[in-house]
Amino acid sequence: MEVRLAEDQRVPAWKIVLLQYVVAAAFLVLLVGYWKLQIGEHAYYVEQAERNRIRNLSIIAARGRILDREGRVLVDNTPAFSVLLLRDNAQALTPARLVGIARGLGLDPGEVQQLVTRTARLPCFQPVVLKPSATLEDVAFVDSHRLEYPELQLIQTQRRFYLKHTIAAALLGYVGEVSAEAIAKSGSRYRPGDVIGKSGIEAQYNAILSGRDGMQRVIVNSRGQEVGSMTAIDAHPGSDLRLTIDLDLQMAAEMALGDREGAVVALDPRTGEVLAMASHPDFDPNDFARRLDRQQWKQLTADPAKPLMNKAIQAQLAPGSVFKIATSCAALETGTIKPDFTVDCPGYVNIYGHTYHDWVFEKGRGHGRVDLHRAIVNSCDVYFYTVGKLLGIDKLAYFAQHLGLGARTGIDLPGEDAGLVPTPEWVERVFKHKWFPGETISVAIGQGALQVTPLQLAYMIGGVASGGVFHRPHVAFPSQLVAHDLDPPPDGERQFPLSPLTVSAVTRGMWGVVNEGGGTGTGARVPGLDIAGKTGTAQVVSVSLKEATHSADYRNNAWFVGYSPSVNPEIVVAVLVMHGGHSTVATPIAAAVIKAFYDQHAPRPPRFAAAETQARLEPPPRGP
Amino acid sequence: MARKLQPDNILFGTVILLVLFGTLMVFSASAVMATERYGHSYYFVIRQGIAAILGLGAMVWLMNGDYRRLASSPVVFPAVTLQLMLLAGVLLARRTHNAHRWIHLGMFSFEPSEVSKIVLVVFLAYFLSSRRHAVNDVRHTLAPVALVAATMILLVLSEPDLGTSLALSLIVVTMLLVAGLSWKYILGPLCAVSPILYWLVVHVGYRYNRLLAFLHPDQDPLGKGFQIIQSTIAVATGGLDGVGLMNGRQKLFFLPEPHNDFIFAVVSEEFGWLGDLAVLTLFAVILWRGTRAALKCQDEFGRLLAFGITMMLVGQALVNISVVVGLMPTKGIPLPFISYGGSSLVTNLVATGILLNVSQQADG
Repeated sequence: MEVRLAEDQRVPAWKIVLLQYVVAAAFLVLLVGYWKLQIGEHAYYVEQAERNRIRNLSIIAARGRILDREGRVLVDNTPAFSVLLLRDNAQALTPARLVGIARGLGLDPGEVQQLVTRTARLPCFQPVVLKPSATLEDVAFVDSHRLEYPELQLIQTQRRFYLKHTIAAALLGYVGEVSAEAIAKSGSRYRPGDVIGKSGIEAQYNAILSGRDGMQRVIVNSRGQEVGSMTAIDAHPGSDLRLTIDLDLQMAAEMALGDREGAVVALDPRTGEVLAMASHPDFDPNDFARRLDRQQWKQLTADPAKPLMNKAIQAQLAPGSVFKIATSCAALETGTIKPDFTVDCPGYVNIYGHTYHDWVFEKGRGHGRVDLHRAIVNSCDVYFYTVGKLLGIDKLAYFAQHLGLGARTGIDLPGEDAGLVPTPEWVERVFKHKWFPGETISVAIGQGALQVTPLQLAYMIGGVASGGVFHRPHVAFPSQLVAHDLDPPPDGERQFPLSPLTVSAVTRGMWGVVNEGGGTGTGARVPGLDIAGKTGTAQVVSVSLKEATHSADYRNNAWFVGYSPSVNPEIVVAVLVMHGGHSTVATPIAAAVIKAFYDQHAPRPPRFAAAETQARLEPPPRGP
Repeated sequence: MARKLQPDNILFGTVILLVLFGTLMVFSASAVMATERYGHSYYFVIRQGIAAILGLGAMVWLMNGDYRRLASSPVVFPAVTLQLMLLAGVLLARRTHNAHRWIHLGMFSFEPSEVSKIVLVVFLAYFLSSRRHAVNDVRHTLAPVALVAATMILLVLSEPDLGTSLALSLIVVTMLLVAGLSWKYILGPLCAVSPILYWLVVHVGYRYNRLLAFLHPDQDPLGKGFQIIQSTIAVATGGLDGVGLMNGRQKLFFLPEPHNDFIFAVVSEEFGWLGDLAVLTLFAVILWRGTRAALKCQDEFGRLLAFGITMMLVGQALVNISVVVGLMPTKGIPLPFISYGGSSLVTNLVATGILLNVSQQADG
């Protein structure tokens, strides 16, 4: 312990005491000063505080543009106005005034009242969006009623503009006001009135496309005039997104499909890139950007043709004869048949005590004696009924699944459907009865409970023609997703190797479909192009009901999946024409898209043209 | 030797009251802003609560120790060295909020400049008491003190943290003053800094004029004057008894850092002049008990230590409360025990723990 110092060496007490009094005196001075301010000038400052109003005004960030693979703009933004409701003088928002405002802006007074009630708990300096994308009339109304309705404010926003209107509408999707549930789920990311992607690309890649809104805090005086601004947070526009879609092919697909109900999807099977995706009937997403009224919404949702549906990934229908390619692969790979296996087709066949008709039976004939090649080219049902019986459902289902059916392809679009490959387990689970062997016979020609999407068929045919290499379809380049810190999708390549013999037999058959006499897909022939493919005509209901009604709703769905070149294809196009009747309506559509593709890319010389007369069993030379 | 000492219950209770009140005010001031910034209103108050628990634990532990153990070279000099290294290190660290002020440790970050206040007090108390016989010896007393203090102040100043360097200067000046610094060393520097003081006074006058000119806020609504205008409005709106807890409006984005340097404006708005009186009374109690402990203490180290800590606590309060109504230039200095900020709160509670220890030892 320290030695005690003499008294005169110690810190003098008077200095400590003196400083204590100095500090205490300062405290007193402060108290007096605060008294003067808080009591003396109270009224003056309360008035100042009353004038002190701030408003948070959003600075809307532009959404990123959507481009095609060549950088051509598909979706852009255009300047527009939103009407805000200012809430910093909540007493002024009486029901009567709200009705007046609603009338002036053409809104439903009930909805406006609801909006006010719903947002009552937000801070009062936070305006709410009353009407996004205001019309010129709305702008005029707000401008001319500044004194009457000072609580209305216009801000500039960016409205989504779909340059090609209905082109690729279902693929691109549309934007709309964020829903109350989405706001609740998002934490504090979204606010009422924010615009987000609701479907298609707009929804799938909302994170890339949507920017971060900025904000300006504005100080206003008691008359609502802005007298200054406090802080500004800059808006960060969203990023552009380049799609794998090729606008030329997309246009070709849309034109070729025309007024028919159905879908077209074009893939590059070497990468999985989707080159075109059309779904008809369509809609104009610009209507959504402008905000639909109830009438329009009702119309769109009540339409039995479902214009909002993306039929390329959401129409689940029986594939018809296109499925015979899967049956062929299963039969060849399992050694159930060899390509020279023949069946005599009188136009019908009796299996399991039931008569199954061939599609040519209506014309009063059969196909005669056919081998696998002829059976594919002429789409002989009896041949595949027989093969189906030999195969059994288990092998058939196994191959169908491994060729890409019955499960989502994993395309980067919301709402893809999985389709269905029926199996005995599925029947027992859902219908609680044993599998009828007769079901196998229907499935073998792509009927029965089998359901596929157009995308799945393009995926399957592309994969088979590529020798069993499947690439996950996608519409955005994976490299772009990495750049935006989004998880890149799992590596797209899937191998289900098929023997060269199988591939050659099947691809030669599909070449014959388009290029040989009696082929069901000769409508897809384009001079100078090496096109192959498979048609399908899927029954919607039984023959008897069809004859009874003859209405378009009960006409068969027409399918065609075409690709080129006939081995190791560069493009595969699946076409679905709903209620199209016969597949001949589908073949020219695929041909048009493939032609558009080769208008840009130099075509490879036809591979089988010279071989047409040669022995068919010789395997074609494999591509590099 | 191990007799039970009677703790200074008055000082202890006062500090507990201030900490509780501070936590409440941090919540009131920050709830809306925290919701906007972080999505939940308890963001700041939870952090403040954790710091309060840590700080009170340290305070009780130090209170029951013996401050004399601090008075040794192996404690003081390494502490000062470490502190200077931390202050230098923080300058090299990542910039956040446009300043090199924080050291980030996982979830938490702390401000070495806040800690430097207590380190400086302990250093001065130790060094000046050991050089008691020759305080005015320039070469052996004043030069070392000036070297340590100036280095520390300059490091803090370059973060930049003007408020804390001001507090550090205040500590150095008052402690040298009571330790018996000769008048010539006081008057000399005073003449040197008088131009700066003049500038400050003029500057304050200018602010005051602008305060009156609030009718034309468009002249400089974004400038520093705006903050003072807004905090003065907050204070004056409070009136005699305030608008009530959580009811203040000025904290909603008008006040800069309402939970931090300007929390007293929120106190004034929500509790009025009576609330201000209560807070100032609590600080006056600290002044009284601190001075009492210094006077009663029998050894020089304890006496200087108690005095320095007292000055550090009430001095900061004095500056902070003056800043809020524009009586001093706006400089970031927290209101002890009340403002948001873990480093500041823990440091002040550690200092209080030492002060409580001096107080109970002097009584015993």
